[in-house]
Amino acid sequence: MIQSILQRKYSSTVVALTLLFTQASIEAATVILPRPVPLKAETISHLQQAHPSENKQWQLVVFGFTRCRDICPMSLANLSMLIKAAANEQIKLDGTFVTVDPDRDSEEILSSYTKSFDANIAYLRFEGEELARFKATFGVETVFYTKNVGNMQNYQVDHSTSAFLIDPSGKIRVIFDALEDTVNIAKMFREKREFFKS
Amino acid sequence: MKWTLIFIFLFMITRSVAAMQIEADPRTISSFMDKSLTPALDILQVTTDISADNHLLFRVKTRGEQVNEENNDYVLLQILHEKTYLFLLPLNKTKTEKALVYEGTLDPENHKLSETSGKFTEYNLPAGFTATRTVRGAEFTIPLDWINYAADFNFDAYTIQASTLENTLQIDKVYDQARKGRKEEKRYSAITLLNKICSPKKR
Repeated sequence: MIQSILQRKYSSTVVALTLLFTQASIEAATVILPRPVPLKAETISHLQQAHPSENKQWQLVVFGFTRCRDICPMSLANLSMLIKAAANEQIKLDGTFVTVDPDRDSEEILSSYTKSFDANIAYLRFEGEELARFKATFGVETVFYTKNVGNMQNYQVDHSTSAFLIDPSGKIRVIFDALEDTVNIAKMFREKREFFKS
Repeated sequence: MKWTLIFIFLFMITRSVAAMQIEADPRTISSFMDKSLTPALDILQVTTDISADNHLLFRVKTRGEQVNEENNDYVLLQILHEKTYLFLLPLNKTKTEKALVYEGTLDPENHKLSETSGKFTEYNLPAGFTATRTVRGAEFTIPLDWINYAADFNFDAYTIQASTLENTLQIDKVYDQARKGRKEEKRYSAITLLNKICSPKKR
């Protein structure tokens, strides 16, 4: 009887521990959308504004903020790598960095920040409702830690690290992790040429 | 003894932190264990992922398995996506692994399934939907081209007893609900769910 109770308790503990650690090990995934998601005219217009001299380009869009010390610089370095990888395969691709922290990211800061990674990476800066609408289009959520009236400079921002590959007609074709999945996307450039002709 | 207490204390802290994170995570439902239920009826967790063949994958985990019991018990995945879709798989492992899919409309303010939810009508299963039993649970896959990315997309899982008549489903009893005891979940768009699945790391 006691042995049975102990055995049951042991099983419950094992189940609990398994769940605890499986939760921590959720991994990133690349999603190739079989039915591309068309962006609204307003969003397409904003993306075109970011690259006024370019036409009919593929675009990579990432979200972040310039005071981010590691994740955003890594994302942008990967974006630059992908732009070069696409160019090698004669695929016209530009990058766009969208700030989720317009209060600290001025136009000047964003301009020099994006140029420091790649001349083909532009930026977009929205405020208030316009930023909320743009983020919602891509399902981007942000959380600001310790940002308040007394602290408008030294706070942290939590956001997703997804990147969006958008075709020249303004449809989201691929969603991937800007940190983990860039090698997969570079491989797509090499091996799925037909995809980039569609 | 001292180390045991330290371990338990650390475990409790870790558990509560993990629970807080999961609560805000649209990809996962961490369900409370209910000892009053038999293990096969007790849902512990529902997770989402993208399968290798580019489908949206739902994994429902229960505390145990049901074998050789003659009943009409099912594990049910509820998808709230413009309508209410119910994907059912018999809990009894000896029954055929045939998925049943029904659709219906629920009160927009209350999506919780119950015996009074009314009848659901059979939904013609488009290609790409699958349901399979796994060890202590079930997996459901949904083709990504079925999803309207501009619309809200929420999910829940249940263990139920149900009866089917011609092309309708009647829920006779709800044993467990993955979100049981939790406050009304936040609504997410389908694109937000995919965004989260693609990018679990944050800063």
